[in-house]
Amino acid sequence: MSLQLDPEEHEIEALVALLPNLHSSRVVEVGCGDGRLTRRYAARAASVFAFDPDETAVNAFRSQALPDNVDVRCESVDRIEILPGTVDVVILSWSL
Amino acid sequence: MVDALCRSRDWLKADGCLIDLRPADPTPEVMVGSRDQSRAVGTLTVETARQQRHAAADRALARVLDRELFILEEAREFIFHRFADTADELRDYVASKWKETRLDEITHRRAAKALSFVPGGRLWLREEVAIRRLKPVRFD
Repeated sequence: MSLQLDPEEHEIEALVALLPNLHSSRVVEVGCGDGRLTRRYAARAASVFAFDPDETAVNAFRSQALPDNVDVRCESVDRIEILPGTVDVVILSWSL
Repeated sequence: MVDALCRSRDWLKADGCLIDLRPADPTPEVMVGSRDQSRAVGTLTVETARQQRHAAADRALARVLDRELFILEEAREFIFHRFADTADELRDYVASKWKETRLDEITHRRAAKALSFVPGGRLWLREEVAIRRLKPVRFD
């Protein structure tokens, strides 16, 4: 058996509890890494734009099929271009 | 870090929100046990640089709240577990995934020994995680 991360799903439970309107939200995730968390909530969101400066992690994310509503980039927070006032939720995912 | 928070604030709609999700404490415990009983056999070894980054993130958050760029709407904590079959597996996972953090030799030996005394036992990291929802404040 490989390593199991949060099998009790405490993380997604806490996230959804804080975001009751996630289903209609345009989400930006900063520091998505290999997409472990993104894949857990993406189906509950309208759309997700996820990015991370770690190329290895982003390639791992892309190595499996992406949900239709997810766009992933390899980029840092100081270089990414996002239109002001267009996002419902920003998630700083283990990244601050 | 303050810059990341300020950029996030710019992207958000007026009624949007920011979720800050990260460890409440930078030093996870190494646990061994069964479904009924468990005990800590030590903690991961976290280098000073990582501890300083953790403290800097707390200061950055405090600063944007103090400057009233965001309002803290809700905060809670939960426990994040990472289960491994062996001490070797856990050590290798930490070495490959985490920066400036390791399962040191003493804790590794202690975990392997404790696991050998628990038939069907498990080994895991126990990490306290904080999650906060912040609302951006607009001045215009």
